[in-house]
Amino acid sequence: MQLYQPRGFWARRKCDKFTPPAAPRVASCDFINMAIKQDDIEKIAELARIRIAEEEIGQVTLRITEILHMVDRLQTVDTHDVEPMSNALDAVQYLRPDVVTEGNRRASFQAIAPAVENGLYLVPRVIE
Amino acid sequence: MHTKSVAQLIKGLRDRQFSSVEVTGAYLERIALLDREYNSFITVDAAAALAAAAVADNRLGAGDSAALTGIPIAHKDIFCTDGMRTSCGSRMLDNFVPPYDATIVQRFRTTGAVLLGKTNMDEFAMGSSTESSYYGPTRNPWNTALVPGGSSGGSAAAVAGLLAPAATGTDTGGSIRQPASFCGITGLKPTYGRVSRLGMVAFASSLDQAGPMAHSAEDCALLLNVMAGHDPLDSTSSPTATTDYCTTLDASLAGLRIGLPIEYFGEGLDATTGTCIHSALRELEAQGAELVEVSLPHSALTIPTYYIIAPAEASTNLSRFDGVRYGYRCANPVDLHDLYTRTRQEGFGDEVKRRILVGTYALSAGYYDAYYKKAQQIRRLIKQEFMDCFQQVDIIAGPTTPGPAFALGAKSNDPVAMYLEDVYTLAVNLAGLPGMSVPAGFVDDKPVGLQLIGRHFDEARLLNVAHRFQQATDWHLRTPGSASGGRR
Repeated sequence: MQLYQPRGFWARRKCDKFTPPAAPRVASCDFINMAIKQDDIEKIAELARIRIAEEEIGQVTLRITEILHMVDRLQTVDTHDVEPMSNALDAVQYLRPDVVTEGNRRASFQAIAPAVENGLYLVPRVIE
Repeated sequence: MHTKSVAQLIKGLRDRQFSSVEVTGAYLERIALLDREYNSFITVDAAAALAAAAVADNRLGAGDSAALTGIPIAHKDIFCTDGMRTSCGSRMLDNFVPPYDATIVQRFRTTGAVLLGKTNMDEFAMGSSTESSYYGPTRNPWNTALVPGGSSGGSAAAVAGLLAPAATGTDTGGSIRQPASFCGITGLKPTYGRVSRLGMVAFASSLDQAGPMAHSAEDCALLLNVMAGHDPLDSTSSPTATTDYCTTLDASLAGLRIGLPIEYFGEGLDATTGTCIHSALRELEAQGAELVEVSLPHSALTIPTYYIIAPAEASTNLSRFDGVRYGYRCANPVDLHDLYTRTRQEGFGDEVKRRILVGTYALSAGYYDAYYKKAQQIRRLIKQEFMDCFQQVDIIAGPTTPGPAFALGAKSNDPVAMYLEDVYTLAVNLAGLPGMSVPAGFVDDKPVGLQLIGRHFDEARLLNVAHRFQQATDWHLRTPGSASGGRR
């Protein structure tokens, strides 16, 4: 793939009034050790309640290591004093009056469940 | 019939040139004929569609019609449809028939639109090629050896292949804009909170947003008029007032300041794609807009920031799929733990499992600050950079993707290479801004998209710029040879 070479208006506009902001501030160095082991993947998979087949665990570890390596760049940015942002509009959760607005739809919700009996969801025995 | 725009169909239905049953029938015939090749639909219920069309015809006859009465629309299979399977492209929800409608589905029903079917997508909207669907990949109508983009690839291919006049999509990191670009159609991701998320299967709740996909900006405006607005049932839906997005489409571009981020035209951009975007910007300049160089220095950090935040939110959202209340359940579980772990092993595909694992890791004790909190802090810096830019310019423009559609299979085994596809689109979701992709030319017969990014809640401006561009160009009128070809 041949890469794009800016021309035309770029050349004309190179000296526009606009000055680009300073480059991101770089922290001294606080890289995390990215080496994730197969044991770690097994622990995470247990937390996430996902079974991974024995023969797949090596490949899964490799892929996740690649992804963590890619996100490692975040550690180069100095974010001291930056407030974490969880909503792009900094919106706050609004509340509605605490009144019942919906009827009981148990039958239609249970109609799509894998296994029910007498209005209850069935799962394997959990108490011996 | 199938070559008409939504605006033309509305006029034809009102003038009684044709009925909704005829229009809907024509699209259903095309789906039966061509979708074996594209695989753009997961579910089509022809009888229900024709019944809805007949109801719409009665409304039209009685003079009781609303904005989109009688117009067939395809919904991405991420939106819950009462009584119709909603799979989200996953084995996990292959048997899931929702007991309610998503708010936007309800809005389309109320206006009298006809639900044509549910479109294919990357599993749980996690992907950029629609190859990770449990129902097999969708193919790009411009060249069926290519991907249509993703995750709303089914919607994009259905519109591009003239199997639906318009469709809905969702965009968490580019999933409306990138497939719109790859398939040569127009797609809009509105401001976060502009369109209700109720009944839209959640992927990353702080980034997810639904939007319209159609041939033109005018058609997108017609759909957005139905979709946008506050929903008391979605606590993140914005109470900000909406406008009629059609009324400002023709406004002059004289004096409009368009910012061109130097980072969007640098390393990694395909040469011919860059030339197409360059010509498109020239057209806007000819209409009186002023092009201003700007800089978004944190652009290089948007991919790592996104690939912490999105998987973290996904791992939380997807914990609800446990094999107990709805969806897939593994056979013969020996105990509850086996039921959970094997249901999720068998129900989820590889990419979904990968993202759940990455998200679980990023949120786990000891790593939360280093990953999730760090990403949220950089997310604020990325948004601030856009806010600073919008002090100087009215909109920002650049390419939607680094290059045109790639071949099926080219990136499906390399997650990180696939993630790089979204380099120009992710920041828009992180900052909650509205973004569009508009057809802007071709590279070797493959469509190229121009991306327009606006201020929060400035969808009307984006649609205006796109519409003016489409009045002067015909890229959005071209149709692929596989869909019979030529110019609409």
